[in-house]
Parts: sequence; structure tokens; C-alpha cells
Amino acid sequence: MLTVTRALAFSLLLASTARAAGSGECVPGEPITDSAGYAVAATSAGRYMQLASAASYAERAILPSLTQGVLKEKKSGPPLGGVLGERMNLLWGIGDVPIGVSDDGGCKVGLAPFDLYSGNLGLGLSIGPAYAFYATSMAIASAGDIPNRLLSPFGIPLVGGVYSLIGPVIGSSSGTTYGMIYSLDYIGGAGFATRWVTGAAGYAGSKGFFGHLTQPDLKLFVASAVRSSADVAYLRAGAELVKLTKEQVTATTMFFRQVAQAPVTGTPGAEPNLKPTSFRTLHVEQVDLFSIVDVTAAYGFGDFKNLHEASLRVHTPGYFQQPSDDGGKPRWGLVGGALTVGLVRVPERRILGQSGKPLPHVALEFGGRSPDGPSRALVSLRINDPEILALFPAAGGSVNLTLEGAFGN
Amino acid sequence: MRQLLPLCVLLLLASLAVAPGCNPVDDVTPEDVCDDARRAIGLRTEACTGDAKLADERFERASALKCKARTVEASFYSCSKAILAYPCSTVAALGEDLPSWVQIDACAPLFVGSSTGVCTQSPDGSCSCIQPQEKPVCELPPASTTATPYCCVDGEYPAHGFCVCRYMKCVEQGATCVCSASEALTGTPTLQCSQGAKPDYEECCAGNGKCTCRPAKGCTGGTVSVPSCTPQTLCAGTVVTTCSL
Repeated sequence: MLTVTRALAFSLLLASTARAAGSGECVPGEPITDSAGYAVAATSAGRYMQLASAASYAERAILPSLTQGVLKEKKSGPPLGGVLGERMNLLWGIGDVPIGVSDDGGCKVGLAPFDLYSGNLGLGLSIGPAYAFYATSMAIASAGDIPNRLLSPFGIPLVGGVYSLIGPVIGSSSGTTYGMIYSLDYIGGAGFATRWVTGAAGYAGSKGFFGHLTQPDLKLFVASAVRSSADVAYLRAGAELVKLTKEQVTATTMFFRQVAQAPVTGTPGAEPNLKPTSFRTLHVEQVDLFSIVDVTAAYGFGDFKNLHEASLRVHTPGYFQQPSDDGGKPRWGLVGGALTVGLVRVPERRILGQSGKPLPHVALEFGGRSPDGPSRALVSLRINDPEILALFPAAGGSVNLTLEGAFGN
Repeated sequence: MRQLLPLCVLLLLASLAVAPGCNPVDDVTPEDVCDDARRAIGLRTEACTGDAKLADERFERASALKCKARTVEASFYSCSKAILAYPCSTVAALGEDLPSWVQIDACAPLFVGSSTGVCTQSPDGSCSCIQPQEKPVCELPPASTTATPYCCVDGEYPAHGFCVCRYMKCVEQGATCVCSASEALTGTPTLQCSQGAKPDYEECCAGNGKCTCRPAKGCTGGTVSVPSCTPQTLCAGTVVTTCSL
């Protein structure tokens, strides 16, 4: 009964009128679910990667907004703050799936690119130095005609946002419906911020744990999500935006990151029972050189001893920097943009269509930020985004449109 | 009010980003379907062993499994489904014996040797199969040669260990060859013996760029250099290299 309820809820959510293709059947607009191509899509959109993505979004987008007020020692206004954020990635063509195609009233098999819609939603509330947060990550893979139309750039923020909110309620953490594959994980937790240290802990829907610690003066941070099986799903630790003097414009970020890449299950919705492959990288970023240039380099450890990323970004003055934390006037503009070019390389995975060779990385960003709060709106168009490739190895050559927004006080 | 500005910008950008979905669908070739089954071997290997490198290696080596399909049917993907459903104990037992991975009925339409044996057709239309214990089925001609239709009948099988094909007036309908009448045609032989004689039957094997035909019914046999050889999988799972002169 619960399964029926879940399927019904998700079907209503997508308002799809298509029907599922049974084994060996050819149904126009529906993927051939027997195929290995569909199994690759299932791996990409499986629940496994969602914990890492939710943890990353929580520590990079939600928690800094919640602790910002305490660190700036706000002296006026109510001691109440909040933030609501959403980020949606639309990855077009990250693989190929056999699909039924109308053919003179009949049905023939065609090969269609499958698209991955991944996204995060975060909520946070702070009362004085204490705060609570909720961060989700969801993914939907689809190669069907009708779902693709529904999950357009216009619809996906709405569909993804609603799914992120009701998914935990209806218990729809992963599965398939009407040829689509969907999954969701979420982290809920609380934290406390002081001038000397901030800390947060959370519990994941997949029975994992999340932790986050920062030392504001030294700009040190560590964030991690661990599965119940003790596997490290996500780890990022280092120092962010370090300056030698307050007057210095350029800043240095250096961190170590480990992401556990999903083992192939071959079966949509199935939880892998294998040890994951850990993708470990060391990142160095120098931002705001001459106020407009950022340089990023990352190198791999372990099985992947190779250059992971080398890129150059040119942006409008002050586009990258977070609001000034020294009480001074924020240096970034209300609206800005950036262009990134570079190379990215990830471990070879031929069965996922990833050759392991250097790929060109291009990104065009545009957006605006509120000068006195966490509110922001960003849109970016990316090809071979390094963070996306780390989470989804099959996404080589894909085009990624990201919409991100946050609203808060 | 100032707080709402970024939200307004986001909504504006989102509406600008609205575009009709671009989802081109390419034609699927029989080789694509076979490649899907080869990919399934890699996926199942990783799912059972956790060894991503081994999975990639098997996927690469599975390209030696010759694809025999001439058409594409949705049901052909049952081969991938069956492979993806192998219990891990089966995966461990099959190991590196890749031909055995496709030695199942579900894979019969895709791979030579999975159930139909390797059949070759002689100039007079007779069809010879290396695995006489299994019912031979002649392959349909490639689409480009349908102007010379032919069909296979197995009237003399298994008495002579091979079936006989006659040139007939046939029409290819999907994967089926439908013949309206039987008529013996002189037809152009599709195989030429290396020694110039027109054989009734020959079987050629190649290795190291040399193709050797054994003597048979008018074919004197011989060895000749060939530009390329094609790996084939026999019914028993052995990979051999054969060629046509």
C-alpha cells in the first residue's frame, strides 16, 4: 500500500500521462528499461550520491548564511534569522538510453540522450547563536519525451523543490516510475556559533551522520558526512579565503576533498552493498588577482594520481568575494558575471562513458547578491563542471544549467 | 524590499532560460544493441566484484564478441537484462570466459554462437554450420544486398549436418524473410574459392593474416593472404578467426 501511495504521489507530482514500458516492450516515448544504458542512468540518479551532495550544499550554502550574523556581531534588529535556498542542475545528455519512437503508427527503437536533474534545497533558522537547518539533495533521470517536457528549465525548480519537501514525508527516497529514476536524501541538524568556533551536527535520512566545524579567525573548516556503514560519503577540510592582511584583495583557499563515487548497482533503486571508490583531491584557489581573476588547480590522490582541474576565471570586480567579515563595506557588486575556462579530468570509467581524458571546462555565470544578507540569485551555464563530474562520472561532455537562489535575513 | 531583488532576478533568469526541450533521438544500429549487452557484462562485473577496472577491461574485451544481429527489436535488450540479473556466483563462475556470458537464449538474436552456431553459405546457396548439434539458421543478408534475396530451409538437416538454402523470391520483413515461391536461380556466387574453382562448399579459417580453405567438392583448397580477419564466437564459446575469400 505504501509503495502504491509513493508511486501515486510521485506520478501526481510529475503530472505524467505516459505509461511504463514493460519488459521487452517498445512504447513510444518510454525508455527500454531492460537495457544497460538504463542501468547506467539508474546509477547516476541513484540515492548513493545524494548524501554527499546534501552535505556539500549544507556546508557551503546554508550554514555560512546562518552563522554570518553571529560572526558579524549584529548589534541591531531581532536575534532571528533565516535562509531558504534552492539550487537546480539540469544536465543534458549525460548518457544514451534506448527509447521507443513512434514509427508510422508503430514503435521502433531509438537512442536518446538521458538527462539528469539534480538539485538541492535548504532551510535554516537561527535564534541568536543557535541555529537549525535542513538540506536535501535529489536527482531525477529521464529520457522520456513527456517527462522531459515537464522537467523543463521552467518546471524543474518547482518539481524538484516540491519533491525535496514532500519526499521525506511520503517516504519516497528512491525508485522508478514511468521510466524515470528518482532519488532523495536529506540532512537535518542543529548548531551553535561563537566568535571562536562554530559547530553543527546532523542526521541523514539514509541513516548517516553529518558534522561541520569552523574556526572563523583562521578561516579553518571541516565538513563530513558518514554513512551508517562507516564509509565516508563526503569530506572537505581546509582553509577558505585566507588573507595575510586585511587590506589584501586577493585571497587563498586550500582544501582536501573526498567524495565516495557510487558503485554500479545495475538495478534501479537498489542500494549497493560494495565499498565505494573514493575520489580524493587537493584544491588550491587564488581568487581576486587584480580584483578580477581567479586561478584554480586540483590534483588527485590515491588511484587517481593526476591533475583533476586547472582553470582560470575572469569576473567583474568583487563578484566572487563573500561579504566583508571585518565590518567594512562589502566589496562585491550587486550584480556581476564571470567566465571560466580550463581543463578537467576524472578517473576513467568506460562502462559509464567516461574516457578519463582531459576535458574542456567552460562556465558562464551571472547573478546578483544582496549586500546585507544571504539573499542571492545565480544562473550559470557549464560544460564539464568539475564538481558535477566528481559526483556523476557519466556526465562527461554534458551541458549543465544551474539555477541557484537564496532568500533570507 | 531590497531583499527581494535577488529573488526577482532569479525568476527573470529562469523565465529567460525557458526553451523547448531539445532531445534528438538517433537511430539504433544492431551494433548498438550488442554494445549494450557488452556494457551489461561490465556493469554486472562491477556490481558483483566492486572492481571498476576489471569492469572496464571486460567491457573492452567484450567487443570481440561478434554481433550477428541485422535488425533491432526492443526484445533484443532482454540479453542485457538477463546479464544484469546474473547472480554473483554465476558472474564468478563465468569470469573471463566472455563468450559464455552470452551463451543464453536471451542473447541468441545478438551473438554468433549463442544458440544458432556459425553458418556459412556456399555459392550454390547451401548453408553449412560448424555446430551441427544445434539447429542452424542462416542469417538474413545485409540490407545493402537484399536485391539478391535468399532464404534458408533446413530440409536436409540434420541428415547431412547442414541445411540447404535456395535462391528464392523473398521479401525481407523486419527480421523475417518471407518467401512467396521457391525458384532455383543461378545467382552470383557469394564466395570464391582461392584457387578459382567454384566450390559447392568450403570452410575457411584464418590466422596471422593467412586464410586457409580446406578441400571440398570442387574446391581444391589452399592458402591465401587476406587483408583482415574477423573474430567469431562459436557455439561452444571458442573464439576463432574466420574469413571469406
